[in-house]
Amino acid sequence: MINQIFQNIVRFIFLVLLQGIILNQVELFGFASPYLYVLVILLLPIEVNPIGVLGIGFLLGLSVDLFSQSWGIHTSASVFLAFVRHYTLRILAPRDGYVFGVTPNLSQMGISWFVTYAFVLTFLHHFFLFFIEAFRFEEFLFTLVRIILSTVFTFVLIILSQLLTYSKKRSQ
Amino acid sequence: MRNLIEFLWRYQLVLVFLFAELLSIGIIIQYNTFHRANFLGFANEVSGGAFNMVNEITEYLELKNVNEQLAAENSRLRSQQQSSYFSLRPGVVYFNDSAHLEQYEYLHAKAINSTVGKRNNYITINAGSEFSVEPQMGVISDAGVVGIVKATSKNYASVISLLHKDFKVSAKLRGSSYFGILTWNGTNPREAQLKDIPHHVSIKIGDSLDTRGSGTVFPPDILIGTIKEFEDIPGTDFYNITVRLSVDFNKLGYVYVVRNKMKFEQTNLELEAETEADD
Repeated sequence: MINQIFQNIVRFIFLVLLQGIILNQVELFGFASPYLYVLVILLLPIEVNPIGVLGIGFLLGLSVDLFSQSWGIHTSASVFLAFVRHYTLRILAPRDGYVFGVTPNLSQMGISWFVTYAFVLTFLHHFFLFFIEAFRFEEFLFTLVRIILSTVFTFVLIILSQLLTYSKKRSQ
Repeated sequence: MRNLIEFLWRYQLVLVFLFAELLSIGIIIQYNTFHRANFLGFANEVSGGAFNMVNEITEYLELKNVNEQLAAENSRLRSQQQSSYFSLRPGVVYFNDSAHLEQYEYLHAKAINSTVGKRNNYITINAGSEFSVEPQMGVISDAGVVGIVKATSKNYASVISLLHKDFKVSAKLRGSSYFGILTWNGTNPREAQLKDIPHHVSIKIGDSLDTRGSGTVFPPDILIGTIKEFEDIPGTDFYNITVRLSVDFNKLGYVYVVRNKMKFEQTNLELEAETEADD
């Protein structure tokens, strides 16, 4: 339990720094950027109180904003992500409910479950983020293209990072 | 009362979510009105320190380009020196003589972090209030107009790039006194849009656009870009002009912060005239 909390704190700090220092500089084709920090919210244990997840989302967004000089934009998107995670988890729940203490990652939940979960949440987060950033619907199609490309970009990075840390804990 | 408590309890997650969302949107709006200088200054100092570290490493990789850029600029400046001019007539007025007052001062700094791919882009430069950089000062590079200082901390300043929703500059056609407002529509980091140039002005592709120098931010006749294409807006008297920007924001290196020594004189006078007109 303590170990799990520690793991999540380290992941929080590591991903915020990675996002702020390296990933914010990456711009594929000039307008697709990865926002890998969503992993912090995605990989929180399922039992965490949804309101606690909102709080973590708020802190996470604020820390990322600190590096991007985009006050409030990542905060609102990441709070939104924390909010929709609760409902996504509920919809994707297996028939017998989740095993207690499980982390929603690739190795514990299996590939098809995780791909759906990560893609849906990443897309929702990016959708909210880019529209908050543009703050208007005038350039709708252009923003949509940016959202889709960035979602794919982030999603690929999420899967890669999951494969890197893949462990065969599933058999337990 | 009990119903109310029950209601609040049942929808606690939604309510907390709405509260957090309102809070962050409040932050966004607050920040958009430019009144966050103090808070931003603190954040600048923290993130600026981190960027600086990264930048010190990447600087080595860029040395060759920077050298070329500096050499080109040196030669350009040298060619403008008094000693490079042949005096046709003795008694010509020199720029530095006592009949002229130096109005603009330039401070060089390095762009240590910048973005081009977002709707609103920012640049962090490594000169701050210690070198008396202040908000609302203009920033240019050897190629042309770059942005406007938005917030400063002790050692860093955050600059609104030309590639930003809130950036506007008066652009003048070189060789005439017609001017329009230049903005960026968020699509291509190499192109911006110019409005308010009337139909009867003859323009052609490749014409240069300079700053007008009417505000107190940029000196006059700093290059902004060249006309790439233009079209008539049906039903109005104006052109819609696409401008090829002279600065490539993808490889921004050294920049210059412009201090206008007569800024307060001008703004005070304009303010005075305005308040008098209101009376």
